[in-house]
Amino acid sequence: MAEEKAQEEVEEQEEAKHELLEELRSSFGEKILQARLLRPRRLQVRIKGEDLYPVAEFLKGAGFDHLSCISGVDYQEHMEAVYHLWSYSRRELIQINAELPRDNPEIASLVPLYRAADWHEREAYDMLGIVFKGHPNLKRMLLPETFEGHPLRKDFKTQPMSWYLEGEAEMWETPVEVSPPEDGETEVMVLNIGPQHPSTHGVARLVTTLSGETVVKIEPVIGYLHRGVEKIAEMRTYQQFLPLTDRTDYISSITNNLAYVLAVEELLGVRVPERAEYLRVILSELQRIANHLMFIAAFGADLGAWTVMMYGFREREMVLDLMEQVSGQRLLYNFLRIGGLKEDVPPGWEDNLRNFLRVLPERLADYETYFFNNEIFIKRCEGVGVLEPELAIDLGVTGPMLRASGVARDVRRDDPYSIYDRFDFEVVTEEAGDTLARFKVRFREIFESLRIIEQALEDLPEGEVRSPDVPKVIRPPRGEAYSRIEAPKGELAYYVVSDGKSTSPYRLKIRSPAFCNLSAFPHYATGEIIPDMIVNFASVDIVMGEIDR
Amino acid sequence: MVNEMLLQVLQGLIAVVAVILFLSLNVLFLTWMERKVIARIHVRYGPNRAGPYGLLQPIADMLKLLTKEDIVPEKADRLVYNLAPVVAFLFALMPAAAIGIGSGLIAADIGVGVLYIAAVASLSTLAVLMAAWGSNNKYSLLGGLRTAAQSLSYEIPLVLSMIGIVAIVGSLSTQDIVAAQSQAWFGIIPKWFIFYQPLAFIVFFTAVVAEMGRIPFDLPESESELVAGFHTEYSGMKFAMFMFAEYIHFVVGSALVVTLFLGGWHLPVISPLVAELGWVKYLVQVAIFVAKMYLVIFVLMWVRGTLTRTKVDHVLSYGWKGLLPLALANVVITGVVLSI
Repeated sequence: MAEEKAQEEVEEQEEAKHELLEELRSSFGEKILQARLLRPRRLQVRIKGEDLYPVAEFLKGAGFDHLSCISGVDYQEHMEAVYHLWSYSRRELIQINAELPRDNPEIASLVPLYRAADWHEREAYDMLGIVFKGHPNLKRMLLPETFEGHPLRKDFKTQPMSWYLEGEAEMWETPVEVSPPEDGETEVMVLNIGPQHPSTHGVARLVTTLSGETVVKIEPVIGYLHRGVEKIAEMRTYQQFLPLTDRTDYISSITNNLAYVLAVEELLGVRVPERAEYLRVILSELQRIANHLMFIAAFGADLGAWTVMMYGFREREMVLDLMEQVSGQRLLYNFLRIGGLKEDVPPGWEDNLRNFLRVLPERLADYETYFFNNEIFIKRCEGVGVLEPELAIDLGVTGPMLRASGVARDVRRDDPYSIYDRFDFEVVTEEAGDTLARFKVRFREIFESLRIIEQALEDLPEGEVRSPDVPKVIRPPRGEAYSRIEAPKGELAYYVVSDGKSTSPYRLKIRSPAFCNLSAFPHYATGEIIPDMIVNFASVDIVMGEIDR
Repeated sequence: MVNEMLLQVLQGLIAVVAVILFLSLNVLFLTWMERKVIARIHVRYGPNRAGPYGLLQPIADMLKLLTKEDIVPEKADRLVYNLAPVVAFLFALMPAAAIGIGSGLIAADIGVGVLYIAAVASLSTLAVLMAAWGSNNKYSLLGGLRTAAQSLSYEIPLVLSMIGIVAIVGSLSTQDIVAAQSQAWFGIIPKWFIFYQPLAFIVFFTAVVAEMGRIPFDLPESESELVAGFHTEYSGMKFAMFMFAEYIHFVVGSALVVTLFLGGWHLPVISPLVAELGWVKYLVQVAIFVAKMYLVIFVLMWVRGTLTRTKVDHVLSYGWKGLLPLALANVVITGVVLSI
């Protein structure tokens, strides 16, 4: 019955897709080099670089309102800028491969269409040297301005660290220019918040322009934790790279594992055993709970409520214990495998999990009293940092931040992966779009995750947890895969390209949710005072390991 | 004549040493107590390695801070920077002189007691501003400005809330104020000013917390925003002196609450029992006073463990629009009641 339904859906979708692809072909004719349907909800268009802007404009008109990711790939003979656009209304993802000449990789900037393109394009410029014409501020994103070369080009020669950092010291010496005040204006002050600062949650730097306590301008500077994960991926085998995914968003490593293995499994065409699918869902939702508890704890610390911080960590400890029983690790689990899991959960673990499902809601009742009956807390967060839904979508904001602006979008429901279509859960939204709403969404999502775990635990089948079809040496056929999942922080996606010959990814790009969410931060936090800025920043829920990669 | 003068000087010196000793001992104990109380609220253990129950932790802290490198920022205003911790320490000590911990157990029973305390207490803002300016650090400067704004807004309700008591007692001396609270209804219910002046108590208590710069009013040094506020650039002993000054404020503020509103060293039933017992009387008085003081201190720690930090604009508007009218209303009500 379920299969039949899925089959029907496929056919239905195929027709709809053909429609769009036909439209594309008829409007652009020869300019469309290739247009095809990869699988349900996945389309691909191949074009020349110079035709990108009109095609993107057309697609935006056709309802593709969310620019998910921009990646660059160096194919040695030519280069490609790869765009992933998602349509919230059509529930389809289209991948645009725009071919560029390697000696002069120039392409039109999409910033006028999608403001989310801003940071993505800067990163592609930084990593591959693709020049986006018309970009308002095309400078390096993750690497220092003094860096020479573009590391993700295939002919890039790696050098000792000191070589890259030469000349960086002088860069720090140059003071930030501040224009002198005009008559009747107060002088502004540039304050460097970070890279070392108690509320930057890692090593983010916010170059803030202040007029008194009011924030006039914020410019986030990132890249302090850049470890070149995407470059390392090209030098590791598919299995070897798995532990490194843990280390991107180190607060929720299971979901990173999941996004990566989904992409590789798609390339390989492997089906995962049922039991493994259920356990993946359970672990992912546990991870979401741990992440949100961590968010609540850190948010409390930023508000000066250290008690909340300790309570949040206490509750998170329960999740860590469960994870430890499963994987032997407490932070970086490295538990998922291509084609399943490392091993089955230990006997008795399910009872421990049931116990956790019972205890957590009791503990969370305290949180409710603490936060929602606390006038100081409410007053600090209500109406602070309002992010309008249209702006949020335009900026590529996803996850709890988008849902707090009243947009009920969740990859788990809109574009189900794994077996999320089997569970009944609510996509939590809040209307206000302020910091309080962002807090509430995350808080309420914990309960939804508990619901999903309960359902999954009830239906948990017996059997294998690792597919026998996965070869010892993983050498996927030539192709590309883009796996999107709803990570705790938002839409996490791995874009993996295989050349069909090598045992390591030809190119791997991580679409990090916090990266895009952070890019929205200056838009809604300016014009408020420093304390507001701190709670606004905390409400993004960032982990620098994932943003800088 | 000479002998008399010498005696006076000696008496003064003893009083000064006694005050400093009393405050220092309390401060040392407080650093331990604060960490322990907050730890229990946080579901932690707190210090438990140095000595029994971690009681020697303050000594260990002190030694650590003494051996730390003393860093002066390159672009600091050296004179102001170095002077600020000393000034902060001195101004923190000064109000303690006019607060007694037993009848006659007071360093200087000056006639304008309460007024003097209010006046010197506000001087400590100067030290904070000095530190903020001298450090040549933007976080420090912002912290200093916040301190100035905050103490300005809370100084006025603080003083106004004391006027009611002064009007009832008819004296500014702290000794007289405590003496006025010695009686009890039916021998059990104490005639403390907290019952006569509940509104003033609320205003005073809030203003005192704000003056101390503790959560929820710890904006001058809110670590999540301004790193450490005015003392961001201080290390080693200079930092220790700021911390010391802060804890002295804590002790003095609580002692003031006890003196003004909680009957000082008087406790119904017990105080009359020991009234004729010579030196034991003084011992009991000090014990009662210290016990009450620690009760207030515990409440303040509890508040710190429970509340979140407020926002700088909320603090100011709450001071001017909330506390000030309340304090004024209290003065008017007291005046009307007294004249009837």
